[in-house]
Amino acid sequence: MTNIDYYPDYCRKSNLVLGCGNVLFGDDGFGPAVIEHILEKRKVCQDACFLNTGTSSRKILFNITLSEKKPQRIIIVDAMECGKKPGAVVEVSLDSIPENKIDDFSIHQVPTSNLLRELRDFCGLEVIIVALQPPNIPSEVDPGLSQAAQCSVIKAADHILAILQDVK
Amino acid sequence: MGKTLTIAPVSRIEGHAKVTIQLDDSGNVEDTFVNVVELRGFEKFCIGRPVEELPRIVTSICGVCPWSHHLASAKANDAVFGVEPPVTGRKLRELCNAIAFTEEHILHFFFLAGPDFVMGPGADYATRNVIGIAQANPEIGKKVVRNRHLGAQMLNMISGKSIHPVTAVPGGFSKPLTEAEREKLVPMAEEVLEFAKFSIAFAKENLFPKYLDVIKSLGVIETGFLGTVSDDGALALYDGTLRLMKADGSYEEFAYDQYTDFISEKVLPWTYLKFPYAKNWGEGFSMDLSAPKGIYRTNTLARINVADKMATPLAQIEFEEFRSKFGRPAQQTLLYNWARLIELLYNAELAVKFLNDPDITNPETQVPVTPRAARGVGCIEAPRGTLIHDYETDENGMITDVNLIVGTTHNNAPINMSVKQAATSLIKDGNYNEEILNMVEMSIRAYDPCLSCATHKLDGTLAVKIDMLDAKGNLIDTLKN
Repeated sequence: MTNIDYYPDYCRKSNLVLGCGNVLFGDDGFGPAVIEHILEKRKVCQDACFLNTGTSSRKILFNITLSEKKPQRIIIVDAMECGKKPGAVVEVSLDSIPENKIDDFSIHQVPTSNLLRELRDFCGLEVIIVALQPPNIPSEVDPGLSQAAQCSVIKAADHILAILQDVK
Repeated sequence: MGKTLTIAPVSRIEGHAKVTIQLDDSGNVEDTFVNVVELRGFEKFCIGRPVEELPRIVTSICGVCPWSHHLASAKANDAVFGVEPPVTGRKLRELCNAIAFTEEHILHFFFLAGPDFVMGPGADYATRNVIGIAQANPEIGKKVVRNRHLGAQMLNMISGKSIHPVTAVPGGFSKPLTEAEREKLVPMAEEVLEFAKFSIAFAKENLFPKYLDVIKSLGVIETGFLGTVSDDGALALYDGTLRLMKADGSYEEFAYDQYTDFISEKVLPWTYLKFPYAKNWGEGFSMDLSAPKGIYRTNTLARINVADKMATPLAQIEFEEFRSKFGRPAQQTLLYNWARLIELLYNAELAVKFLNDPDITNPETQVPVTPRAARGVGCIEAPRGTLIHDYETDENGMITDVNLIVGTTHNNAPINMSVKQAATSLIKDGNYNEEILNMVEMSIRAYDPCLSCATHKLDGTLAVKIDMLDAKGNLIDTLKN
């Protein structure tokens, strides 16, 4: 046995924040941008793990599902259609994610919503989704956040850090 | 009245697929279609960019196997610039590739395909998933997490980043490995090797024997195979020669940059995804199950079939057993899972071997490059099949043309054929149930397709949806899990 911690950081810390989305598709890169902003410019609490997972979130969530040790809370930050003004940042209930988010065969959907439901319902984790109403998600590769989305990065970071303030 | 069954999305594959099964008036399968998502516009986006940016950019194409795209792009860059990386630069790339393979193959076997074998294809949908495995086999779940964690940590130590790698650069590898890092990595790689040994032994003892009848019949089609071999005919993943084998076992070999002489792509009206086929066979393209034309497969089973041997001792023992049991080429689609475990063992052995290679800590890991007008083809065996990056640049090293063929695209036609074979053999006189539909899905999952998007469904509330339409396209019934 090596002296590496048996489980990854993201399983051992109480809070896990995942920045999800594909940076090649405009505002779909919002989640990764928020994580980068927090890691570079903000002071973060010790009991939280921030990961820019891009389109790789499932790799992390699968491991959490199987792990004996799990975070108590997962915060997902992502761009998704939530019926608000473009650029708005809101908390979205996992149950309110419409079925077409699962079935529309788009690569611009909230990743792993089903796996998140399983983690909440079967494993007892608290799941919070912080969503951007995206001003622009192109249908073809076209990277870079819109100005409105860029302005919302700080808003989303503030929101996430406020949630984490009650961390002991 | 004919009916259409739609399975959407297929669960536990990397992304989405929608399966449409068209029944005839007597309720038997008339035709099937598998629709998958394709990343659109990437080639256009690349035009005019410096070619050396691509190894970094392509890791965003797919969150599932970013290392494969990263390394294929770096190899295409080497070819464009006309350079060969130093020995150590190449070995560090191969080491990362081997570690990334172990992570991916563990993911597929235990998370995606595993539930079908561990819980059984007929198990309740609510338990036939990764949570079911965790509850039924907590010790295995623990080991899976541990070993995937080790893989990610090793890649972090070697390259700084496991998810969006940046260290493979034109001309080599940007970060030499220190002796202190190597000493830490060796026991980690040895631990993963122990798990690889456990995995194949566990599957051979507890899982595959129970489902041998299913393996021998489900999704079985007769095709050719494509994979990479080294000069001595051993299975190769990072570099070598492409070997294209016909269903009768005869084969031709060609260099990566000659792929357009051997492979063409068919476009069909009902899907964006193209259908690569072997044009050098001179028989055209047909997915007719009784007389397929030009169809070949890639991915684990293909690589094991085209190879003469394995380059590591434990994998060679498994390879010999596999070949003596199933022949060459083995056509049973579910054997992809068995072949995957042989490759898991091979890559785990390879990682240990590289880390004990005195070259691996040599600080000379890259050579300088100069822009020029050229074409460069980078090819690598990705966990899900042969991955080709083909770039052309102008004299300033700016991209003028890009073509990518990814592993799952090679398998587009075979996946469609396996689904048709499975559906035809299982759905009779309009009778079907959840187990039958899962068996149809199993034939897709065996290929470990990667569809570049991001939803999995595990609890059964919407994973499989069947829309039944009459011959005029009117919805007459809907079934959900």
